[in-house]
Amino acid sequence: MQSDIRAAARAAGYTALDLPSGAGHDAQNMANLAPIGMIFVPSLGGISHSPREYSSTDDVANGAEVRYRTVLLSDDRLNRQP
Amino acid sequence: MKSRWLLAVMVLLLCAGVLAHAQSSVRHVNQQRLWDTIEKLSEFGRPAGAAFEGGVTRLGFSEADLAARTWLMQAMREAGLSVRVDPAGNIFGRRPGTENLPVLLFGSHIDSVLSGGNFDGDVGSLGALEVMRALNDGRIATRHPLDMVIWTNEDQR
Repeated sequence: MQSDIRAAARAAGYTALDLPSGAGHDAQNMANLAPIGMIFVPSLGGISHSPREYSSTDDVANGAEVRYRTVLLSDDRLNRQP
Repeated sequence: MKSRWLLAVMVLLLCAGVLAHAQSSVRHVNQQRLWDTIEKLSEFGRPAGAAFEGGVTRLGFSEADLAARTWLMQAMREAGLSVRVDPAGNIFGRRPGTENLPVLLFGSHIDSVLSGGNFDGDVGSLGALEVMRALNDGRIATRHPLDMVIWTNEDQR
């Protein structure tokens, strides 16, 4: 899943880095059931749980674009007959 | 003569490279539509008299959260998704696939902490909706069924 996210970001022409996350969100609970990955977008100052949290409209849309492409990559890759 | 061919091939390769790059940087999701939806969601639980920058208090199962859930489920239905809510209150919106395969699941949460922001959870939730809308725009069929999920009450323990 995470390699699909990497490939999706690359295909969209974005720079990306691997970020081991302290925040589990609900992915940590899903990890027992299926492969998981999380897409992070740049956040100004890394502030969360505050009215001051902020990401640019561009970064937000780039994140959605990476997910769009990840969905299509995974859809193409997974559960192929041998 | 040989070098002329070589030059032609190189020019072709260059054109292909430029085209490939232009192709790859096309954005399929709609930035403005996504942002408008994020702004709309921010109205549920916005502090009185505040603007978007004032953040949000949308505690799980509060009045603001329930109203936001109702609004979002309607938006999901309008995107053609079949909506279901599980016993824990998690919301799923299904876009069917063309083959009998397991679902691909993606989403986040729309509840917030006390005096939270308009990004944590919201970006992932409405980004999921935008993916569905963009797939609809492109009339793209997937092999797997797709579920967007809104996890209930993620931000409180």
